[in-house]
Amino acid sequence: LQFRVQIAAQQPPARGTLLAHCFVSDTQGTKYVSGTALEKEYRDLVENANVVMLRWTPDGKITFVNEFGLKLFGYSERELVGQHVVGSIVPETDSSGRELSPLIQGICSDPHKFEHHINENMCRNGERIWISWTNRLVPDAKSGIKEILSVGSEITERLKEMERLKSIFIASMSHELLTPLNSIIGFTGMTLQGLSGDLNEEQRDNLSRSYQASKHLLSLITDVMDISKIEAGRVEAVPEEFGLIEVVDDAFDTVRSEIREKGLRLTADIPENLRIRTDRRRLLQCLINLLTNAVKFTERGGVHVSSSEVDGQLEISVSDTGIGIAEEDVPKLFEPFERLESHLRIKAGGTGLGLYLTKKLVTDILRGAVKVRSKVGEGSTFIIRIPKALQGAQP
Amino acid sequence: MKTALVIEDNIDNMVLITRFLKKFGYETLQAFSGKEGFEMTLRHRPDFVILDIQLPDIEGTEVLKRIRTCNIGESIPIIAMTAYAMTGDKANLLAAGCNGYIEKPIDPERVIAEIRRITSCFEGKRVG
Repeated sequence: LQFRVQIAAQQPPARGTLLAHCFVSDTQGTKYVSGTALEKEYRDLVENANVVMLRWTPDGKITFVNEFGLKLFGYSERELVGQHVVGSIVPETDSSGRELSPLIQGICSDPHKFEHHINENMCRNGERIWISWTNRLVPDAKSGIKEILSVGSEITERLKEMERLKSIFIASMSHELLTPLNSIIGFTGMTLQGLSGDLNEEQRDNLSRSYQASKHLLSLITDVMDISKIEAGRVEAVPEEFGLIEVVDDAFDTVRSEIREKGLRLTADIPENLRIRTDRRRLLQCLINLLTNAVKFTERGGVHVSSSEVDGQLEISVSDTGIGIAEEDVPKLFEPFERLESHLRIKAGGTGLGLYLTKKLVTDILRGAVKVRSKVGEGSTFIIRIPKALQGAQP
Repeated sequence: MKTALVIEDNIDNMVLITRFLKKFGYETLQAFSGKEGFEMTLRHRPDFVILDIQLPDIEGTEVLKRIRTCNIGESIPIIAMTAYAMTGDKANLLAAGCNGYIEKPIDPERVIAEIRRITSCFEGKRVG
């Protein structure tokens, strides 16, 4: 049997058209087999199904994006192909401040772990969207990686709705937990204060342990409530004008006894006349969290609070001379319930939610940002940067 | 001897508050709903009211308004009590006509201090 194969090349093809037509004929006559129609169907599927399809190289360069992806991200093909994934469709840091460059290396070095992965992406206009990705590595001849095929569906709205439901559930559940807990604290407190008669030493010790434990539980629940309320969008800033030094003093009051016990210094360098307009209660909450943290991880030296104005914004720094934080641990700092390995030796009380809540409060309510500078063994500085005058609803 | 009316639907909290109020020498009256609390305020004219804001029937703030719009209602100190200070709660409650504010979990000594502060304020007014 003999065949004749004819290939007819086209001009440089437009997107979505064939590069060449292939005709195969046998002795019975000519048959058209290149299947323009079939080819087009495949293309339509790839280009326009409601998923992003992406091909990129192990060093992060985008080599292909389907039309749906281009529309979703708001780029033209020319703008996106050849770009690095990070900085174009993957933001350098996600909303929680985590760096995303390691993600790209992660996908290549541990394909199994990242086979299904949900992460934040970024459109051309800066809008952040969440995409659920599946990544497949295509090996090259030298057992390296030729390219990565990624398929993703946008799930931003679904995630938001799930988050909202979760937050509402947690907020109402914690509220239910508070009622019995308040009775426990109330009755143990009353008995501890000697209002129900004298206590012997052991009874007092037993009761104060239950009292302390129930207070700890209370702070866990109220932290969780605060976080879930912020996440459900139920917390609104209540701005008022006040002197910064007053709030810092109030925050100092909550750590003074511990400072004294540990023999630390507690100092502040804040202009007496510095007035700001923001949510006082929430700022106080943040300062208390940062101070408690600083005191907890400082054994020698002290804790210092200072303020400065940068680009019309106010920076409040809480510095300590404590154990410090390793650079690789910094991204973990603001994650809930994350205990750094270097900090495990220290019998840390606390809820594990303090910094997470602080960050939420600063970014979502006070409309600012939190940064940290630290050196292992020398100490840490947490910096809150907030607007000097916060716009918001009047109480 | 001064008389306190406690309006609170949670039995444990009611026992806790009335128990320590008695230890500090107050007479206590108990109301377990907003409606009952409002009626008892008018009927017994207590020296002060401790009002839980989360009540099953009428909201605490509504009870507060009803008491305040009565003739005798103005002269009775009312201390609001909430389970957890929500943003602006304290300010809102004071603006709505509360004279004092306590937060659960209840610390007997603090509550007594708040009661003394407020009742002495009112006495001052009455004398003046």
